[in-house]
Amino acid sequence: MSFDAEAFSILQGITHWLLIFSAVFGIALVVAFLTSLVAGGAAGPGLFFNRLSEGAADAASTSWRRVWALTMLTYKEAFRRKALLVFVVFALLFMFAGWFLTGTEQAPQMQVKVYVAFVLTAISWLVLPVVMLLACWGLPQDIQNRSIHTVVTKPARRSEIVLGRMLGFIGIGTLLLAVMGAVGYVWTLRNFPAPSETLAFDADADPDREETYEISATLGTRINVRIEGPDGQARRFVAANDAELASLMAGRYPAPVEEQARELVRTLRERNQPVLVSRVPVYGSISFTDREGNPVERGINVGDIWDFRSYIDGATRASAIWEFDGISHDRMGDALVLESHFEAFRTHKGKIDKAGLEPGEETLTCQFTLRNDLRSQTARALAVGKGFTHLEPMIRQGAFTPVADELARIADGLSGRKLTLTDEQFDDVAQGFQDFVELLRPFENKPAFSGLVASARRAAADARSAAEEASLERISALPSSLTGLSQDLAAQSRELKARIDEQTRTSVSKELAAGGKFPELADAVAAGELETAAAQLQQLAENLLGGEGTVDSAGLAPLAAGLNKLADTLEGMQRLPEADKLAALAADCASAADDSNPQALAQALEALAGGFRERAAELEWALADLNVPLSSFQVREFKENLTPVRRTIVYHDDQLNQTRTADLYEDLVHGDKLKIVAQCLDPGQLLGMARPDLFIRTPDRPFASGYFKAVLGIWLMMVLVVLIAVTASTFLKGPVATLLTFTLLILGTGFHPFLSDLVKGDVKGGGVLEAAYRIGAGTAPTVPFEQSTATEVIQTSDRVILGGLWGVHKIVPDFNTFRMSPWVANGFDVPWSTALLPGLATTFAYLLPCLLIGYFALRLRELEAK
Amino acid sequence: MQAEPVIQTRNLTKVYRDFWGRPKVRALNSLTLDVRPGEVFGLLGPNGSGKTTTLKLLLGLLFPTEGEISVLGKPAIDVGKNERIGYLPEESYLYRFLNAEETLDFYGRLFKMSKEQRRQRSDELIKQVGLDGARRRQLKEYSKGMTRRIGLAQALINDPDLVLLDEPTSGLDPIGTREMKDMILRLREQGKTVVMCSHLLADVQDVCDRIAILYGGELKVMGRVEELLTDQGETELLTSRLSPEAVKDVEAALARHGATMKKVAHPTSTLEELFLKTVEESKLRPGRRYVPGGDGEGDKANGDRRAEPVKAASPPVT
Repeated sequence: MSFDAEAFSILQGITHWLLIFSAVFGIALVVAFLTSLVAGGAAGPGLFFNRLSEGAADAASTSWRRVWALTMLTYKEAFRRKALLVFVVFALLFMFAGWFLTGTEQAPQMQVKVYVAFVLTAISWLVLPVVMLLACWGLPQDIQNRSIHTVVTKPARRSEIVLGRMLGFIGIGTLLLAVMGAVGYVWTLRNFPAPSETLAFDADADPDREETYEISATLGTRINVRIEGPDGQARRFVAANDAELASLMAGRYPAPVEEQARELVRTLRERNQPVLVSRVPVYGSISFTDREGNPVERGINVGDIWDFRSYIDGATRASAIWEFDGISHDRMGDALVLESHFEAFRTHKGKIDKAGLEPGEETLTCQFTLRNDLRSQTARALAVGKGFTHLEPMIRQGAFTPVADELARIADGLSGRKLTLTDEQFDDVAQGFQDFVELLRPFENKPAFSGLVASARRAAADARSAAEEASLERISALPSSLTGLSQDLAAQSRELKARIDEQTRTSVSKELAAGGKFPELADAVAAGELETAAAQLQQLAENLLGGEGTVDSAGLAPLAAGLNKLADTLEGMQRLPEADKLAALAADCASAADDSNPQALAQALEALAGGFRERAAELEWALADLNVPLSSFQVREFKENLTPVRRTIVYHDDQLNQTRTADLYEDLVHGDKLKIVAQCLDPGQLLGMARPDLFIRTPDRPFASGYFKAVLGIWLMMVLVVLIAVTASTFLKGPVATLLTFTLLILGTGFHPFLSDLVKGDVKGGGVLEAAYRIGAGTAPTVPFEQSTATEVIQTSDRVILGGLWGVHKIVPDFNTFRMSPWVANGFDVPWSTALLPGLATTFAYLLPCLLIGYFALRLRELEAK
Repeated sequence: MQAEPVIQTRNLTKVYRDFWGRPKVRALNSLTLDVRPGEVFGLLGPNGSGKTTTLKLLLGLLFPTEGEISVLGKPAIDVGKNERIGYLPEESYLYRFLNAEETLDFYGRLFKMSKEQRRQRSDELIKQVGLDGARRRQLKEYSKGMTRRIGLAQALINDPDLVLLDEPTSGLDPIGTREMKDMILRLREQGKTVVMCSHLLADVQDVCDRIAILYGGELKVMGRVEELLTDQGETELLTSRLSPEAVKDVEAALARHGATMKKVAHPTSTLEELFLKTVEESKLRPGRRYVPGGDGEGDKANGDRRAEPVKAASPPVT
């Protein structure tokens, strides 16, 4: 099954339900009215309306006290009739299940799949039949034994009896599910214990002093670390992540012990990928490029019958491009994890499952590139339509001053009627500028240099602490923060030069030069030689590490002041200042073009040209194409490939031939969109890809999240079974009600997809009669149906039958909606919008109709056992 | 002015039909009767005469084929009327998995009764029907008589104005029967209206103010019990013991008045009275038992078989 289902629209669902409900209810009313007319003659309509008004009155006077009494009665009945014996079966199943499920040769993920599928299936198959039988037999037995006579001769309404029965059976089902769900959960956890390891660490090198610490770490949903000191006293630290663990332990033990504990956690994590998790995937949309890099709809078809995937050529410009929405730091955290499952098609041999892992085996290498193609998009948006196409090379070079000049020239042409556009061309231009507006929108309040600001502040804080406290530890922290700052400064020196003016450089330089300790650094900043300044900072870091140099701790104060000054200057800096104004100017162009008004467009273009001229330098930097390649990896077929992406990515820029850094959220995510390009690097090999084959994993949720949502899915199914069973039992005897409910269950589980296809006309060979005719005539389903009067009659009759089937298809509940175990078994969280919400909607959709049918069936019948 | 009838039926007819809707049995044919407030009304008739059908029509369990029904001024199918009705079905169709307390609490919940009211009323009724020692036992463990008693208790849980009893004494031992009849009379004293149907004529005669006799679904006789049973053509005398001569004198005196003596006999007690008397005596003087051929107090020549005291060495027979 696909885990990339479409989100359920609740509004559409309600509308659909209202339509079906009104139709069915309307038909029922008409049939009831006609029946009353036939049976009661002239008095019939009166009786009909009396019954309706009685129904309304009963609904209005429903007493929840009585409903509760009947609910509890149902509950006690089941309890005392030993329905809970099903727990014994459940216990027996789980006591011996381990014998048949354990297969050590399987990968842990496969074992989890088997265990989880077993647990959830066992729960479903134990709870559903028990509840179905109880619910189908409850009321008929009451009627058979005439116990119901003692209830309906009290002020209990028939609606209360139906509702009370439903709630009672739902209560029993809930109890069964809660207990079985919890036991199943604990059982699964016990079969896949959280990885745990213990080490003894001698913190002191002196052999005479036995300072041995015992450190134990367990990785569950949280990190659990226990440290027992030489004095025998133990402390336990429970943390959500490494940072929290570090802060919890800080200062409690000698630094090497703390470091050893953190190291143990890291080792444990590397050695043990958690198997019981609920992954939360974010899927994107996919597009392809061919060998020449031109956009195509699909990749290569390698002749696979199942055309779910299409293939890209290795070592060519063929690629698959995913675009993801909703990517933000708040949602994803500091790092992204890409999970991919690709299929290989090889043109030369190799062991596919060991590719690249053993010498001599054929490799299958894939590389992801994070792409932010704002400049290309700008070119695609603006260089469109007659008179504008020649802008493209200028935009691609980032030369926005010439672009401004060109825009002004186009404006002249338009106002002087030297350039005339057709309505269609105006439309193209309007659309282009509208796209450009959308491109500019995310720039509002998008900061520039925030990574650099953070590293400058960190280094300044370390330098100030070192200066004030003269603390060795602080000085030891300073070199690493200086190194980080040096790297950031070097990486963004080009942009910085473009964006900070001489005045700023001078003021920062003055601060740095204040103590006379860093004259070279101050000079480099003043001269705008930021690469030199970065090198100076790196040198300083190395000197501090080596204990060399002339800087004493007190002398670091000017450095702190200078770095803070730099951070202050960069703090409020926007990546594209006044982007909103530029967007407004572009929007004016779009609107004028939309009105096909050349004069207004000319004026708007003039204004936009002015804006471009003013912000040419910022536009060049902000609207840049950025391709950040990630490390390539060997594709493991039939297993997941995980590719971590850190927030700060260091990569080699081939064009500039230098190492640069990029910030994931500032440089690569635009708006909330991220593009990832996948390429195969091995010549002669092809990689098969489809939309769900690559997804971004948001932080994993605990296994319990997915598991209990799947249990909730079973609960919703159980509720629906109870609703149907109780309703059926209001007008049928126990065995027949059971048969009806069971039939609906089978029809709604196994045949619903087929029924769907049949109704939609997706089944080849036509309808029922046409299929029968084809069988008789020996005609293949794919052969066009001959046209004659007879066949027309057949097809018309089929259309009528299909209309009836359409009704059945709409009325029979789709029980597949509640099937959530595949998500959990495959390690995914159960999504609300695509899985639980449709389940909830399905169950609630049947609540009112079932209550109505149940009420009227019980109200209109004589409660005599016959 | 006569009070408004509690129950009124007009031309009430019920025809049972088969699966295809064809008439199968005419269970009740054009029944018209009124039941007045505060009276004990008996519906008599052999099996299949339509008694239970009438009760079920009154309760809205069955729908009439023709005719009208008014119970407490409302149509039979109006659920609201049930607030003031108590019903004891022919068999006690109660929930056998509940115990006596739970049963009464459950039925109490169906009325507007608070928890405290339910507790008090249940306690009172359980004692009244003599199930105090079995209040925690599930009904499936009850004897038939006990089931009838708890059935009566559930019918009275809401202190109803109208009590409908279907064969109230069936399955009860003579003591239970007497207690049931006493209970019916107490209900009448409290001003309740009771409708009971039975084919045990003695029971009906003992407690009913008015009766209706049904046969084949039709009303044959209806009226006050004493009026219906009094034979105006004969006179019955009851005197102290007369010698044979005195009997002859009485016969001669009757002849003078043109009357004939039809029967001279000693009055006999009813078996019910004998049974009750024996049980009462046994309660008062435990340890006495009947020994065939023993030196009892009774007159053996007349076949008197009263119990005699058990000798000290003999264990009591229970």
